Amino acid sequence: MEKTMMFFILLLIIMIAVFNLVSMQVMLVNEKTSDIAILRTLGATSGMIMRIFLIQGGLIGTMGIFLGAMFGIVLASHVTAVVNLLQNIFHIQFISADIYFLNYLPSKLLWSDVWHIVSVSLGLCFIATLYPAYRAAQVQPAEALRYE
Amino acid sequence: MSSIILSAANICKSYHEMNEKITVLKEVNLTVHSGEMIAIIGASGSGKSTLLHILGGLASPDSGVVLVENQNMATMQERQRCHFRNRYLGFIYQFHHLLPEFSILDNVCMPLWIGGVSSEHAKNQALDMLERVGLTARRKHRMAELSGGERQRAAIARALVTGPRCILADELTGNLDHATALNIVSLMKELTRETQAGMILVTHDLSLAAMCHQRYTLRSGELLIVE
Repeated sequence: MEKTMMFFILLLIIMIAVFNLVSMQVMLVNEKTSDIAILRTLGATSGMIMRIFLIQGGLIGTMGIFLGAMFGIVLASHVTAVVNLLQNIFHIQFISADIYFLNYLPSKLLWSDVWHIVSVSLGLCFIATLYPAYRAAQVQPAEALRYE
Repeated sequence: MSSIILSAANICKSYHEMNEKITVLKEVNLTVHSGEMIAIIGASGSGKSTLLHILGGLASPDSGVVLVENQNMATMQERQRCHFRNRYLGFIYQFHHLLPEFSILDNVCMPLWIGGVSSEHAKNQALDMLERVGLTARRKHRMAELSGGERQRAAIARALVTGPRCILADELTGNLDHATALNIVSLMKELTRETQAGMILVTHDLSLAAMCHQRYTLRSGELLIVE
């Protein structure tokens, strides 16, 4: 139960990141409207335009997930040492044995959890790139270039 | 007699704005032969760009037929139409629309890459075309490092690199001083004569229009020959 709730809380955090990806990609499509239009006049199909934005969004998402997973794995493997270091630097006892019955932060890295989170994040990232890529593919060159 | 490259018959186009019908083109007829340069002049908002987009298959007319090399783009599937546009048509705009992230060579290679030409072959063809427009030394530069005239010459190279049969130029020299504009149009004239492509030049400049073989004016939606 606790683990499922934790997964949903993490999912919400990932969803916020995914919305950031969507808004960034939509802004990029708006900024690049005339470039998309000129590629269409050069003979690019709407499928080609869609692929460009899918690949770009996918690459940004994959890089973010890879870096995030690396950072998370390192942090989860050394969280006790990190907390001890912070306690020493700031002279504050974050975890007191009198209150929590233990004086360290326990952490266990489960690779099944890592794969679970990474695959859900990759799936959401791919879904997030679909809408901006579709919008880019729908740019009408005549309309886009009319107001240039 | 040179062959017909582009023909437009009875093109009509109107827009609806605020429940009002605005007729832009009325029964427009136009024929372009190989090696022929045609100028279309007219006031701003007279429908010149709309006509150019219809001729290039980028917009569809309410009625009428456009044939390029005897083929009707309106009846083609999207993929086929894009391939046809890539192969047979070249577009040049007032604002060159070069892609700022790419070098000039890559910009000129772009239509060839889209058309599926191999990278090496595309580069060779693009280098040849850059030499024709006098930009070989600038091939590795980006758009921001070029002057207005050089950018427009790069746009011409990009439009001509696929060997199109018809070039559609919308206010090609609108952003340039008169001397540079004359140079650009002379270059276009030379290149179209060599390749025997047809060219439609939309312009405000009557002295540039005078360099073309045939001149039309677009007034109240009608395309009239200027004697």
